[in-house]
Amino acid sequence: MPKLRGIATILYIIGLLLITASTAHTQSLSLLYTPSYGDTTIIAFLGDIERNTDVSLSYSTSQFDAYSRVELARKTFTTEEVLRTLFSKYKVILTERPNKKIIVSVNDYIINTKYFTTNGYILDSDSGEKLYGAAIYHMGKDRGTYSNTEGFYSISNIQKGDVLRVSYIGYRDEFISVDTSSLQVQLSADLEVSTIIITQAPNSINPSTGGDVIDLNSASAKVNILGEKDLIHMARQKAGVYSGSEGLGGLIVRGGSPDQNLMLLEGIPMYATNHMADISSIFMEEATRDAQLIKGGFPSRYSGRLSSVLEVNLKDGNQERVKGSVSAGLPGFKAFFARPNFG
Amino acid sequence: MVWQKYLTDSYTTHYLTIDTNQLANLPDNSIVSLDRGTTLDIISENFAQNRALSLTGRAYFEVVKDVQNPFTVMLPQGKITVLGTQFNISTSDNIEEIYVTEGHVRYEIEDRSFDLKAGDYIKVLDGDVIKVAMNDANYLSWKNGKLVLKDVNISTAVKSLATHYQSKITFLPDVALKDCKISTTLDHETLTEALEELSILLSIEYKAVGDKIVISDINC
Repeated sequence: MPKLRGIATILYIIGLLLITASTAHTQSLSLLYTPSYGDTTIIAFLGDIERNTDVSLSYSTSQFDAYSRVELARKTFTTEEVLRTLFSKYKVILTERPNKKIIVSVNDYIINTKYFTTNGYILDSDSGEKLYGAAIYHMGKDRGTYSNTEGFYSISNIQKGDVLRVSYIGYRDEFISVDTSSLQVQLSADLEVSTIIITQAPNSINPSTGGDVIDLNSASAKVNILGEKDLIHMARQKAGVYSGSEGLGGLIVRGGSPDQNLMLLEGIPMYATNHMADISSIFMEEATRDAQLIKGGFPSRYSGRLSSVLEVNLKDGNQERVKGSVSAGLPGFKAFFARPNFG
Repeated sequence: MVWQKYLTDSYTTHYLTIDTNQLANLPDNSIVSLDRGTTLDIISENFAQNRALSLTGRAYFEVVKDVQNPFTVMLPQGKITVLGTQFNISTSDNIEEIYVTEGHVRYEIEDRSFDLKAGDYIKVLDGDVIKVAMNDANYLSWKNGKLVLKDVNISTAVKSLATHYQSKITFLPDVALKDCKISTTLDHETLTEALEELSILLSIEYKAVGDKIVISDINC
């Protein structure tokens, strides 16, 4: 029994030694320190800690902003408490070394409630191609920016946790919560576009196709030469249309030449529409139902001409009874006769 | 460890250090700290009456005052005469450096002589004497084993480490050293401990290649 007790005592002493060994090792972080200043820079506090305690500190001023000011309470801290308070904005690792040395390694900068500027590149996730003109929208703030030709963007007044929406045509939108001042965004292509149906809004204005209806009964229809009403002359009253020489020649539309006009009678192209040096045309006023002069943006069915299309449709004739007229003027004499189809 | 102190004949004591620092306690109770690779010889017949020594290498002298009996150190180029004071001498192939920490020292070279007082530092290069300000806080680190680095660039820090530990430390050419600053105090630490500390603080990666230490990565 006394032998056993002896062994127990030895074990107890070994245990005590282990405890003292471990406390000796944690000594430098539990040393007491009372700040000499209330408010100064981190670097000044570090110097003050080294002067007022036995510890020596190892650190790299490249890892933190040494000249940023910190406020400390005028009370007694342990070295660990004071170091953690000084570096509260950072992720800090404190390593104890022999000779009462503490290595202060600062790993990451935590951005606090301060406003900061975030910037970076917007890239294609597959190719790494920089995306120019991608939209970066600061959610909930009604503001945003675009990436430049290098794919680079910069947006200021961001707080930690703010969300940016990054969008680019053909790519899926990304919603990103910001917590660092440097943020590279990769967008993945989203090429599958669902069917898009384009419909005309109910009250929309029909955009002009460049057509101009010649009203056969309008004031301009009174314009005639030697008592003859003529469709070609009426067309010349329209904007952008004039005749080559005084009263003569065909239609010249927007600086073109007469042969650049397509003249259709019931869909059949007409050549040499003028008679008697343009005094009269082949289009007879009495037989014409409607006429349309299209000066630009022709529908594709009228392919092949540069200046204009003059489309003339004839009357179907009177289906009820026989009707006719005869007129005579200086240029000549004409007779019009309409009757229902036989049979 | 090689440390020799032996009598070559009746009056000459020869001190030679090879791979460690040592203290030489002279018969007059003066103390000389000798750096690695330093030779110190007593060259007088009776040291108690004629305190004459010769030195090559690096040594820090703490000389006991004896007005009757000046203390002289013969250097490869010049000669030091003192009564009682503290100073550091460093000699190499063609350079001699004398740094006085306490009292007065007279340095003689050829027919010129210079009186140096505490804080003075001269550098003699092939007989030309240059008096410059001492701004290396770690000039005596070889002696007191304490290397203080205060917000210095990593390349400067590594140079100080190399001098302090008398070893070769290089960086791989692609290691970015820009804006990498360090503050630390190395107090009687070994080179291995110092490098371990750098790897904790700056995540440096290093390995020993022959007698050189090559730093391959650093993260600031």
